This record gives sequence, C-alpha cells and structure tokens, in this order.
Amino acid sequence: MHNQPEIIYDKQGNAHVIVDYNDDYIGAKLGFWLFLFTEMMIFGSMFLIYAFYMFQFSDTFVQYSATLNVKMGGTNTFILLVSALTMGLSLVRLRQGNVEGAKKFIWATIVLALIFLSIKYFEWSAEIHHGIYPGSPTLKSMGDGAVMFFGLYFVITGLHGIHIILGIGAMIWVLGLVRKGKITPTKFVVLENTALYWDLVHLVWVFVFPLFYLIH
Amino acid sequence: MNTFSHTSFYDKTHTVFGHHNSKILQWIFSIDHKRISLLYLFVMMGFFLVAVCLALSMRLELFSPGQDIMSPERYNQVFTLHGVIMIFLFIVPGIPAALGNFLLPLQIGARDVSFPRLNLLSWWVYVAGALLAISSLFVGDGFADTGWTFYAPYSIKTGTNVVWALGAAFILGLASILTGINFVVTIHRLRAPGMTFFKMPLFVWGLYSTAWIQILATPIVGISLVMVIFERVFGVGFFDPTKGGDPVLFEHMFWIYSHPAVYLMILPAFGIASEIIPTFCRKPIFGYHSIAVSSAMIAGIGYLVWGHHMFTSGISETIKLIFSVLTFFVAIPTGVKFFDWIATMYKASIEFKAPMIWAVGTFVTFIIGGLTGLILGTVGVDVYFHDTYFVVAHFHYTMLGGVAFLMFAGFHYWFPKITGRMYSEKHAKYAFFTVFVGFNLLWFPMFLAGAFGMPRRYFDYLPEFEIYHKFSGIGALIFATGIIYMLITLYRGWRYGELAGPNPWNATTLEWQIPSPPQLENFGTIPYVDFQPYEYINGEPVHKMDLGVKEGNKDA
Amino acid sequence: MLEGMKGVSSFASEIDLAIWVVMGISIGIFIVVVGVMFYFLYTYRAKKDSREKIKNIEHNVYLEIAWTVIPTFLLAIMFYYGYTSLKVMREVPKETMDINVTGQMWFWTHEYANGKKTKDLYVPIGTNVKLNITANKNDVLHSYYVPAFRFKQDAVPGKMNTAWFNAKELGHFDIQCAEYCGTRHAYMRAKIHVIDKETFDTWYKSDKKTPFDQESVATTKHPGLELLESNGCLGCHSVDGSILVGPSYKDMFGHKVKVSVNGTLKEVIADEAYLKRAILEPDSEVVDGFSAGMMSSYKDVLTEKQIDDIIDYFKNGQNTPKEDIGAKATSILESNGCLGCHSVDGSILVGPSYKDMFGHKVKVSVNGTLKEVIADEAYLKRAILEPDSEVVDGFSAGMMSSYKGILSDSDIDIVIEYFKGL
Repeated sequence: MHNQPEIIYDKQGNAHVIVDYNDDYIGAKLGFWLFLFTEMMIFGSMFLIYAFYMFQFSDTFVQYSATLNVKMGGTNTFILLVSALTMGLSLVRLRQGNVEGAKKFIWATIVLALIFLSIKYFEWSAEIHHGIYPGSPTLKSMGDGAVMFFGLYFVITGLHGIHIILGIGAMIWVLGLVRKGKITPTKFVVLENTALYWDLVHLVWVFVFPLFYLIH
Repeated sequence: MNTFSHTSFYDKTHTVFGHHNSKILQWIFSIDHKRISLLYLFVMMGFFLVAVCLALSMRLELFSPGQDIMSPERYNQVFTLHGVIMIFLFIVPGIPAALGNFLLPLQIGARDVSFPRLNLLSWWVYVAGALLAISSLFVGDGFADTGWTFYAPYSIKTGTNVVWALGAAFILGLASILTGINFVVTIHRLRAPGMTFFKMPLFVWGLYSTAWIQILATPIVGISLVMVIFERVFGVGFFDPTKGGDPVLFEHMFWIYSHPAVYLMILPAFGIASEIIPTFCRKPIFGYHSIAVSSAMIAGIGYLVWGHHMFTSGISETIKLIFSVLTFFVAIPTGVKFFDWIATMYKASIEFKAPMIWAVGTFVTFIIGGLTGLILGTVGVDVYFHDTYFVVAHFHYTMLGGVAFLMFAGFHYWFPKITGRMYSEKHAKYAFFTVFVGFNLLWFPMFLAGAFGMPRRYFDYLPEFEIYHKFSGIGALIFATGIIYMLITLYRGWRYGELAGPNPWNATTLEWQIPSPPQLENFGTIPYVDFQPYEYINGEPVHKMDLGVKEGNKDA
Repeated sequence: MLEGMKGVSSFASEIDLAIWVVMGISIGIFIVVVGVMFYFLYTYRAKKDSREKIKNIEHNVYLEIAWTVIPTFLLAIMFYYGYTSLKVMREVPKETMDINVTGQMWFWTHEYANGKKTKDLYVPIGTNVKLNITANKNDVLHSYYVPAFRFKQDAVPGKMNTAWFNAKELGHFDIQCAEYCGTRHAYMRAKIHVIDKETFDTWYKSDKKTPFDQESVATTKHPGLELLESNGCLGCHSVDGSILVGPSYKDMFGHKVKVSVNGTLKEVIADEAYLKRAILEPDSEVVDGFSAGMMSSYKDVLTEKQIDDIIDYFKNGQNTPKEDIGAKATSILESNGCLGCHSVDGSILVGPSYKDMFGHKVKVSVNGTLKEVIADEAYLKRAILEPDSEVVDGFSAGMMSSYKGILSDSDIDIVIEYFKGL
C-alpha cells in the first residue's frame, strides 16, 4: 500500500520511519513467536499432567514404557531431526535465491513427515490391535497406572500427530504461495515462520520420545 | 452517517476480500480495527443482555423458596449458560476486543493493529464459538449443567451437551489468544516514533498486561477443556477417579487459567479508569510509573494465586498458606493503583461528567469487591466462606461492579470518539444512579446470606434466607432497568445527539487529536511523541494537535 | 432449618475471631479510602477559580512508601489470623472418634467404627470427632459444609480428606453440600445431632437406627427399603410415584416399561432379571425419558442378598407399611397442630375434617368465586402450602398459615397418603 516508507521528523529534525503495519517482517516474526509460546503452554500443560501421574504411578510408567517399540520411536525421532534439517535448508535455499531448491527441500520435508505419520500409524494400530486404546476394557483391566500411561501416550502423541498434519498442510500452502510468487527470496517470512513451527514440532517430539520410550 | 464533515470509517473501509457493494458485507469482512471493534461490541452486548435475562430468571426462581418457574435441571443449565456467556462471551473479550481494538491503535498513533486480517479472523472465530454454545441449547438434553467451571467428574458424567459447551469455550479461547498476540505485536511494533513504553497511555499498559495473560494462560485452560472432551468421547480418564484420574488436577488446570483470567478482565478496566481520572481531574495522573508497572505485577503474581480457589479441596496445608500469601501480594499493586487515582484527585479541579461518575461509582463497588477478596484470601476464613453466596457477591462486586462498570465508564468516555456524537449527560447520570442502587441492593444482601451459610448454586434454600433473596430480586429488577436506561440513553445519543467534535473532554491522549469518528487509517499525520500521555497546565492540555490531516495538505 | 449461627465447634470462636479481624480491617480500609476519596471529590470539585489552584503533583516518595508498607502490614495481620484459624481447624487431636463420611449424589452416609450407618450424624457432646470424608469413586465432587461448626471439606471421589470437630453444645445442626453436584445439589442436606454421652453410648451399642427411635426399627421397615435409604437410591428414585432424577419405584414391579438400548426403544417387563440388570448395569437399558450416565453401577456396592432384598421390596414391600404411615402421619399432624383445627373423625372444628376428604368433590372459593374441585394430591398439596388460594366453602380464609418450609415434601406425601385411607 505504501511503497515509499513514511517518514516523520522530531523537533531536532531527526528522521523516523513509521512502521508499515501491512508489511512488517519483525512484527510477523514476533507474532509467530508468541503463537509458539501458546503451543508451548499447551504441550507444557500436557507434560504437567504427565509429571503428575508419573509421580503417582512411577513403577507402572517404567513397566509399560518397556512395552513401547523403541525402534519405531527412535526411527521417528531420527526422521523428524532430518526433516527439521531439510526445512531449514529450504529456507537457506530460498534466501540464496534458489526458489526451485527451496521447493525441493519443502517436498522432502513433507515426505519425511508422511513417513513419520505412517510409522506412527503402524505403532498405534499394533497397540490398538492388542486392545490398548483409551477407554478399552483391556486397558482398564491393566490397572490405573496403565490407563494413565497409555492415556497420556495416545493423547500426547495424538496431539503431536495433529501438529504434524497441520505442518504438512502449512507446507503445502507455502508451496502454493511460492508458486504464486507471494513468497520470494526477499519476502520469505511465511516460510521462515513455517520452519519455526516445524522446529517446535520436532522439539516437542524430542521431549515426548524419552518421556514415553526411554524411561524404563 | 454522512453528516460529518470528513469521511469517517463508517463511510469507507478495507475488506479482506476486496470490494463489496453490500453494506453488511462491508462490515463483516472489514479489516479496519474500528469496525471490528464495533462488531465485537454489538455481539458482546447482545449476549450480555441475554445473560442478564438469564440472571433475572434465576432471581425470579429464587425470589421465594421452592420451585416457582423452572425445574432444578433447568435452573442448573441457566446458571451455567449465564456463567459461560458472561465469562467467555462478554467479559473476557469485553474490554480488549471491543474498546481495546478501537482505541489501541488510536492511542499509540498507529494506523491499524499489526495483523488486521487476523483481527477479523478472531471475530469470526468468536462468533463461531458463540454459535456453537448457543446451538447446544437446542440439541439433546440441552445446554451443559455443570456450572461454567466444568468441574470433573460431574462434567464427565452428566447427560447434557457438555462437549459442545467445552468446544465453544475452547474456540472462544482461541479468539482471545489471537487478539492477545495481535495486541502484543501491535504495541511492540507500531507505537508512534518517540513513544517509549513509559510514554504510553495507561489503557495501553492495561491491554498489554492483559494480552500476555491471554497468550500464556488461555492455552492451559483450552487444553484442559479439550482433555474433558477426550474424557467424554474417548474415555481417557485423566480426571476420572474410576480410572485412576484425579479430579483435583482438573481444578488446578482450570484455575491456572481462570484466576489470571480475572486479572485479564480487570487490568484493561483499570486502564480505562486511569484514562478517565486525569481527564476529569484536569491534571497529570499521580504515579504514572507505579500504575503502569503495577499492571504488569498484577499480571505476573496473578499467575501464582490460583490455589485460593481450592482451600477446601484437600490440598496440603503448606500449599494453602503459600497461595494465601501470594493472594495478599496481588492486593498490594492493586491498592497502589487506587491510592494513585485518589491522590490524583488531590488539588484537582474535578468535573463530574458521566464517565467520571461511573468511574467513581466503580471505585466504591470495586473496593468492596477487592476487600472481600482479601477476606476470602484469608485461609481459615475462606474455608467457611468458600462456595457460599459471599463468594458470589464478591466476584460480582469485582467483575460486574469493577470490570463491567468501568467498561460502561469507557463507553461513556469514548462514545463521542466512536460515534462522533454526544449523549444526554442528564440521562446518563440518572441511568448510573439507577444501576448503582440496583447493583448494591442486588448483591450486598448476598454477602450476608453467604456469611450466614447460604451455599451457592442452590436451586432452593432454607426459609431463613428468604429475606436476602427478596432484596436481591428487587435489586436485580432495578439494576436491569438501569442497564436498559443506559443503553437507551446511549442509543439516543448515537441517533440524535449533538456533534461532539474531535476532543469534547479536552483530553490529552492521541485519539482525541483526530476527528470523531476517526477516518480509515486513523491518522493523517503520525506525531513524534516526546511527551507524557497526561500533560496539563492549569487544567489545559499542553499539546494540542490536529493529526487528522496529512502534514502537507493542511491548507487544502 | 439452619439452627443457630452461634459457633458450636470448639474452634468456632477462633474462626469467628479471624472473621471479625479481617472484616474489621477491611471495613476500616474501606472507610478510610472511600472517605478520603469523597473528601477530595467534594473539596476539589470544579469551581470558577479551581483551574488556577490545580497542583500537578506526580510523585511523593514518602507517600508512596507509606501506602505500600501500611497495607502490607495490615495484610500480614490478616494472613496471621488466616493461619491461626486454619491451624485449629486442621490440627486433629490424637484421641478421636473416627467416622467415615461418604458423599454420593445427593445423600450423605455416616459410618461409625462399629459399622453403624446413618443418614444424619449423631455425636456425643464434648468429644473429638474426626471425619474421613470421601465420595464414591464413580460419583462426583461434594463438599461437607456445617455452618454452625465453621468448617467445610470437599468430598473428592477416590480420595480421603479429613476434618474434625468437637461439639460444645447440644442441638441439631445442618449439613449442606457446598460443591455443586447436579440436579438435587440444594437438597443434599443432613443434620448433625449433638446428644449427651449417655444417650449416645446406649444408642451406639443398640441396634436402633437413630438415638431418637423409640424401639428397634428392624421389625417395622422392609430390609429392602432400608437398603434403598442407606445407599442413597431414594435421592433419585421416589417410592411415592413422584419423579425425581430417575423413575419412581412405585408400581414399577411387573409393569411394562419403555427402555432405550443403544439408542433404540423397546418395551420390557420390569421383572426380577430386568431390575437386577438395572441395578448392576444401569446404562445398558435406560428408561425412556431419563438420561444415561446418571446412575453408576452398584456391582461392588451391594451383595447378591441385598439386591434380592431390594427386589423383594419392589415386589411385595410397598403395600405393607400402611400402619406405619398412619402412625407417622398422625404424629406429623399432631406435632404441627393440624389436629387442633381438623378432625379425623368427621366432626367439624375450625377447618374441614380429614375424613372422607380424599378423592371427593369439594366446593372451594377462589378469589371470591366458587368452583368445584376434586381433593386429589395436587389439590391437597396446594391446600397445605397455600391454604388461602382455595378456601373450602363455609370456612374462612386467613385462618391457616402456609406450611411451606415447615413440612418437608416427604412429610406432606406421608400425610396425603394417610388421607387416602381415611
């Protein structure tokens, strides 16, 4: 809207630029960081519930942690780490002016995210196949500690999975914006924020993984 | 609205999807913060009136002992709906989303908020949440009957539409978070050059503290409510004792948000008081820094006091004492604000216009609310008073007699800025006194009833409490009449009032230096702000500016 | 009735002291702050020359320190009293009589160490009583609130909270539920009866239901009904046909009932098998018009034998207590003075006789116009609660006052049941 930056002068005659609310890179990033704070509070609350019941049922938590598939969880951790790298690289490529390279790395991230989800799917279906899912009679018969452990497991990994899906959606949207030329090597804040979001998603998993898979 | 000499935001706007011919679409898709604030205002006041009617029906039911006009089940739904509407649809979005949205950019010298489209989105999300809440009335067993606190395990067991109400509260929380993010970024990025944090008007300080609470506390209640939805839908069991869950944990999670939420409501209200007091005392506010910093302190300490809602829930004695101490700590910055305002009145020249009268009246009611809060913060005493009418009276004295009254004070104060017209001063004052008398008659007897052992959320009561309910019932009618009177006065002012001009109160902050109602993008010229927000000499503003037009075009 | 706001427990005086101190401080602060404010408002109101007299004072360090320190000091006092009053309430003496209190939807159960279970609580005067308060796991939050004893403790499902008291006076004191628990929250009341030690001891060793019973009750009441009472069933299901939260027990056995099974309606006969299912898996078949999820299973609560007793009560028990009702109703009518004006033998005193009243036509005047009504349950209830709304022809209005709040709903039902037989 305002192509020329608007400038005003104080009494001493020093020039001051008025921040254009329509195109404020720092503002966009600040806002997104605040959004990430709210995400952290959400997962933080979940970890609080985890801590609460871990304290109450520590033995059971350790016992059932051993039943989770560390290999699958570990692979997923690795996949997310790599995907964080590819996401970061896409931003680097874009800022270097290599739009096609950036697109490729976003696609790579999407593929890795999908692999993550499918591994998660196999993990969950194995457990559900054994009759372990929230509200199931089998789970109830295993005692309160097991109900809490697997309840937290399904809710937290599920919530995390939803974030992965949202991330994939965001990346597809970003790809669209790149094609339309709304994200360019000089206007990259949307991609940068998506990368930030993806970092949060993988960071959360870095906490989730040991809390569920490695405490035994 | 074409009677103004300039093109105001009523005439011209930006919309999110480009141009629309329809006036309605121009409103509901507008990304102008002023239009969005009015959208919020009307929806919010509509719901406020609905909740007032619900409250009246409860008072009518309680007017005499026994069942009169509704069944206990219906009564429980009515007080839940009243609470949900008042909290999530009226008072949480209230001042920030309606008045704050309008005034924040004006007061800091910005053309809009940082994310105008997000601002519109949050209104739409708000409306969606409201519709979800209301639609659950007509489905199955009707609206939730859990009380607005949704305490587990009752909220897990009851047959009513708790999931809908929880979902609505979650969505409304999302709208609130979006507004909070928008405000924090706006305040950080879009202040006029030269305006440091300690040159911001105090209303902006209130909004700033509030926005942080919205960002950091709302997600916690959001996710807790989602957990309850999971309990009901999937049977997860975090709060369900039959599955090893702990209902007290839900109380914690709920109050971690919901206690800061009351500060979220009151801080911008305090901000309004801090605007009104210097304007009508005609002098700089006393202790600007302490008022500004105390807002942030209240927001900070307010996070750590939630346990005082749970003194009887069986938490450990040490925790109770810690929460009690922290609760008292919140009182100190709150007290400081009041002392600052009262000190501002010293050696002033006080004009008793309607906004000032509303503010002063609120001081009386809010001090009662605040002091009874201290009584409730005293551990041993709270064990006795907890969950009685004493608590009900206390929080209505703070929330209604504090937040809502100051919001009404704000309506009267900024009415000429928003509409460009003036209401009848005489009727506005009469309306205030009607509301004030009704309010005290409505709530004060409840302190007594509670002190003598009347528990809250009771459909029926023992005969010795009848007298208090009778007084309350009469007070409620007077109160509601006063509210209607006030709204009619404002409506008539809007339709038929005299033109107010840019600065009818002769006030100092930036929003008064532009035409009323403001134009699109607010300022022609954005000033360099190297002065304090409330600078007066002998009752006259030091800086008088005409920021409505562009610097170069002044002669044209 | 909420009897006596006078503090009855040994620590009540401490709580009252704390209340008075914090209220005193609060009222003091209020008067000072609001007083100063109104003084300023009056003194510095806008006048002709007041603008010139304005002084722009923006800071005063001493004043600001003062109004931070003084309130802090006052708050410290309040906190101290909060602490002391909490301490007396929470420090349970060593020697106590332990009673388990269980809250369930709209009903308190008190269980003594020797297994005695009561609805109201009976305690000897001057004895340390410790309450272990909880709620059934499948129930909801309640709060045990005894205003006269100045304490309140939440009953949390699956958790044991404690409270204690030492009653210093004889009398009857109300227990109310202070944590919202659903439809009949307001009616979740009971009483604490403080009685002298001897009476208590004799009762405690006897098999009487309450210390006030004249004789052993075991003989008069059907065991099934007793179970229904002591398990809180009657909080939701009536025995007189009135609908509370769940269907009434009256005329239930052997009759057809419409139930919804997984959302589809079907008709079943309320036989023994059905009733057993309804007790053990209440949500499997929900009676049409009522909601699922309200009642929790009694699987681990009732034994087989107890369930049989209950079903036997549904089957045979409801006809037996006729004489019992007679005795009860007579005592209600006597103790409330009804028989001073209304006879039971057909003779006319001040008001109409009760004899041959039920089900018969009666001429009443409503606001001056005569009309004929049938003396059914609804009419009689009205006549007791709002005696002047319909006055029987030939008698005058204003003679009888309403018994609203004096007779409980169940008292009224008993009386009406009694009228039926006259």
